[in-house]
Amino acid sequence: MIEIRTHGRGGQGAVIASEILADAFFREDKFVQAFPAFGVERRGAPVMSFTRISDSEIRERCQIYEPDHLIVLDPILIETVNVTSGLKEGGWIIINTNRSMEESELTRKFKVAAIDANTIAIKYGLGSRATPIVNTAILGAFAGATKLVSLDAVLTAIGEFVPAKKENNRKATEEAYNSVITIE
Amino acid sequence: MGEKITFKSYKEMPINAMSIADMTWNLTGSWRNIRPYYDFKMSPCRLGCPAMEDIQRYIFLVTEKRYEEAWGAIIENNPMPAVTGRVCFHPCMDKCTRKDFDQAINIPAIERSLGDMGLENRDWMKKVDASKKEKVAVVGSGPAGLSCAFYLARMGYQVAMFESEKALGGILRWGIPEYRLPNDVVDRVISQILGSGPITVRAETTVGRDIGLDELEKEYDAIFLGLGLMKSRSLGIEGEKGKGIEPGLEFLKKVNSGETVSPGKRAVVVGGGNTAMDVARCARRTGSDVTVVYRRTMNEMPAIKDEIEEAEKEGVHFHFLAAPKEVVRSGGKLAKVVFQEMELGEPDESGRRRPVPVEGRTFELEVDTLFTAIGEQADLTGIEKKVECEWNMIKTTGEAGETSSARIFAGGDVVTGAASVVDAVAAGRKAAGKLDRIFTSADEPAVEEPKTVGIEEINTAYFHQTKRTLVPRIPVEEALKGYLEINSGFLPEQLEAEADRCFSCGVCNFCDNCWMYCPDVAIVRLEDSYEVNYDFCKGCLVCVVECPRGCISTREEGK
Amino acid sequence: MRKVIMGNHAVSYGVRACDVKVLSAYPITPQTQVVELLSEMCASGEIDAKFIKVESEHSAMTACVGASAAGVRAFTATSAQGLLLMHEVLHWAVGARLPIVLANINRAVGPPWSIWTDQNDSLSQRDVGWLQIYCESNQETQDTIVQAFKIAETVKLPVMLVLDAFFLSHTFEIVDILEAKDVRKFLPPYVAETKIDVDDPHSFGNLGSPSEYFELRYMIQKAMEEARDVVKDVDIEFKEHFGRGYGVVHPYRCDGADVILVTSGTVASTTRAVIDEMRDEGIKIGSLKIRLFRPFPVEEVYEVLSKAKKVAVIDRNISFGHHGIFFQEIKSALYGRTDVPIFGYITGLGGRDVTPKVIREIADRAVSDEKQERDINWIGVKV
Repeated sequence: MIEIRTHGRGGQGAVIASEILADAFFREDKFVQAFPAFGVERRGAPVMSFTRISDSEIRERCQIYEPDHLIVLDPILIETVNVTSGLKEGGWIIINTNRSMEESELTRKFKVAAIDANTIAIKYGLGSRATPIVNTAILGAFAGATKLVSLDAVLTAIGEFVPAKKENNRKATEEAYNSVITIE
Repeated sequence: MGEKITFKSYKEMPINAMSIADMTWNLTGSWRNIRPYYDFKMSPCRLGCPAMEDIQRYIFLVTEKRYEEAWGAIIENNPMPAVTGRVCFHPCMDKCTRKDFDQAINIPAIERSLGDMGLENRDWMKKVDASKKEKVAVVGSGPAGLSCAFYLARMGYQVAMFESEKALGGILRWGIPEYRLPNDVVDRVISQILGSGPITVRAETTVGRDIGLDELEKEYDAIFLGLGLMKSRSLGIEGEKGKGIEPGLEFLKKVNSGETVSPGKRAVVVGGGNTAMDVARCARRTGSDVTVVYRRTMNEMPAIKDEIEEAEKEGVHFHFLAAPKEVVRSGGKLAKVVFQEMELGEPDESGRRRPVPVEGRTFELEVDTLFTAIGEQADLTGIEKKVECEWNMIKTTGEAGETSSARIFAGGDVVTGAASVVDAVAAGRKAAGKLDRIFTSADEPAVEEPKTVGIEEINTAYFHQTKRTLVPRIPVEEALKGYLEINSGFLPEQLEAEADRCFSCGVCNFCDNCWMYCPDVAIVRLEDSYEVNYDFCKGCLVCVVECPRGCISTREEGK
Repeated sequence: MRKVIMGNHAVSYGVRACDVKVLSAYPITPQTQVVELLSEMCASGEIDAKFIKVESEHSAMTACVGASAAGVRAFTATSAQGLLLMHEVLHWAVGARLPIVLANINRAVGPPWSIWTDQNDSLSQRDVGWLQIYCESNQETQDTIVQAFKIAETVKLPVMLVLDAFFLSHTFEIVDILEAKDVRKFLPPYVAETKIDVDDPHSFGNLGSPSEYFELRYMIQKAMEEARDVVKDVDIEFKEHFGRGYGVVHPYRCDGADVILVTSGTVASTTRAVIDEMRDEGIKIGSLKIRLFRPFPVEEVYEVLSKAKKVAVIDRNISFGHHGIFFQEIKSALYGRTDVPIFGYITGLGGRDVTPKVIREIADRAVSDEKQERDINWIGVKV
């Protein structure tokens, strides 16, 4: 079973990201489960959501405390939230950032994949300059970096879940898939 | 009738609380100790009407938009609603229960609307043919005579009307100005009455002069005298006969005939009745400055209140507690009138305080024309010797206008003195009814004291306070320009709105409240009435309380 | 068609397949996306039903009562305080024998305000006469809605389907979506035996005197007893149609188990993962999920638990002044028939996460505890 935790801020689409991710794995015949850390959603507040992927039925119905991989939609969160809490050594951190992660502490224990999802999202008109919606781009980066799920499956899931600007979301996902920088 | 079900096992029962049979086996009427019963009363307005018009009923029929029936309901008691709707002093409104809630119903306006509809819809009046052998002479074609003729004709009697003037109508035609009662309306009312049955007319025939009562007695089975009062009473002062002094009635007759009248710059009208008001207001229409001089005060004036108010609005001045004492002429023309100041003394036999002169106090008014309107008199020439008269009026011996002569009846002002149109209408109808009973040897109808309801019996929770609907009137400036009718009558929506205000006191108008509220479904709704099913009525009296108009009375069981 | 959907929408899809004619709901918190999706389905014509928006849950249930009394399928969904506000009308639906189906998202009751899960809202409706079925997965949730209408219409009692807030209601999983055309073969159009009908007037819900009321209550209990079999039969029939069945209870690795954990809702699912882990360690342990709470499956529970040496009941609820409610129910079901010791554990109130670790703690204590505790065993409370 693969357990993935997604960190973001209200409005960035973190919850939907975990659901799209589950749906993408579902399209590759996995058992999946996705759900948010239950709170009262407010724009800008730190949020978490969870995705479980398995070859067999998933029985655990609780939050993920020791994830295999992390998806971080907002680099500032690293400074305010202990995002790596419980992350298994050698796990992926897919992070939205415009800085180089080469020198980051994180690279010592974890594999890091960096993507400037903000720029991509803005380029394709997803969300606003103040709050770009980065979830589709970062899922492209996730697929590109981890190869755990195919780009096709992610794109299909996005087509299912994203209500508007389907084509631009698709392009953002593809661009991120191709441009993600990995430090293993 | 259903049977009582007793379950022996749950298996016989429905699974939920659901009725599976009716409860008619349970004759809950046996639980009753007080019994409601429909007991329709007489509406107080009807009691207030001298003609006993069934006011509640015709207003109810208006609310149902059953106008022809509504008109018919009036015609049963009054053949000229177009007239009374305009000129009546409407005592009905003083009795209206609604006045204790907000404002009395505008009954005359409703009556007038229906009266006018009756004139418009000529087929509403169904013609009656002569079916009886008796013939009756009706002398005088004012409201009393017309009413008597009409009801006799309705019953199939042959009527011959005698009128000394060329045109019929009496006081209606000659005594009431057109701005209150247009000649056209009078014409149409009379034509409708004459066309309603076996009535013939002999105009320009003065009974007592041109033809004697003896002759009429030979030819007719009965005679009704509705002569009216067509002579103005004289002032009885020095210099009364002469230029500048004119009897009010004669002035009104000229005005109504379309003659040019010119009372001069200053006119004074002596008197406080309706004739005085009519004269004053007609004089105002010639441009005169008009003062009404009355020997008592405003409170004692016998004129209809509305007429006094209208006169005031039209600029008529009032001078109370004064009576003409002396006439001063100069150069053959009237110059001044000297008035004696009066004060109110002890009440007289009419209950009003008697005016008494204040010693030494007089005043003068410069007058071009002085109108006398202190009362009217009958012309009883040739009548007095046949029937007993008193105070220059015909003396009657019974309610229906019986006189000293067996087959001669009388009614209207000639009996009562100056009264109202509706009183005359009532008198004519009563005489007709009595004559019929004489001709058919019928018994007198039993007279029952009618029951009425007051505001206490009205469930006012069902009514909203509203204002009386007022009739549109032309502005005073317009009115003073001529004799255009001032009151232009209800608009259709006003008629409906005002009729809807009626409480229908003590008379069912099929509002269904009793039927809806009865918790035992014991009120049975029939075609045009309700009845109580005493098998199931438990005597809770919800119907009595919820009847908005007091139509249901109660009686204790076993008593 | 298989689809990844959230638990709330699993309810909506279940309703969509059932030819429901009246949906009534109060649309504001503690309401969930159940009725949001249903209202969209109504608006789009996907469901041919009247959606009655009301000003309170009391009215929502009242509208369902009216609709059901008029002879059509009626559905509503609610949570927590909303369910409590319905309480009076819940009784009415039972007395009137109306086959209404209600989905209750288990949320803790305020104050303090909570939107997170525990079972006290539904369990405080234990005695009203509604059937209660607790679900653990989105698939089971959707399928149980369909079963619920069939059960309700068979025994003429309303059915409440219960699912955990968030851990189920907001969790996305794969669901094989049921289509109306397939469901119709399993659940034919509803024909009410008695209904409000202007052409055949009767009074409903009238006064019942002591000479009838007692029998009417007796019949409700009879129907509840009948429902024990009906729930089972409907589940079997459902499985014949759709290949999935759930049972009234779900024993897991109870054969030869010394200790059996009794669970309900999503905890039942997580517990099975813990059971596997402990079995791998050689510990003889199993679990029993209670799916049908009312009527209580006494025989099925006895059948499984009487063979164990110890029973540990996990309650995400509490009857203040006594104990966990499932704990009491299990004790009362086994009373006088077996002397197996029963331990009660309370955990997870107000949405506190019940992780495999928490369950393991309970299991370990159950295995090692020797003396039957009369006191409540609180797990995870900060004392």
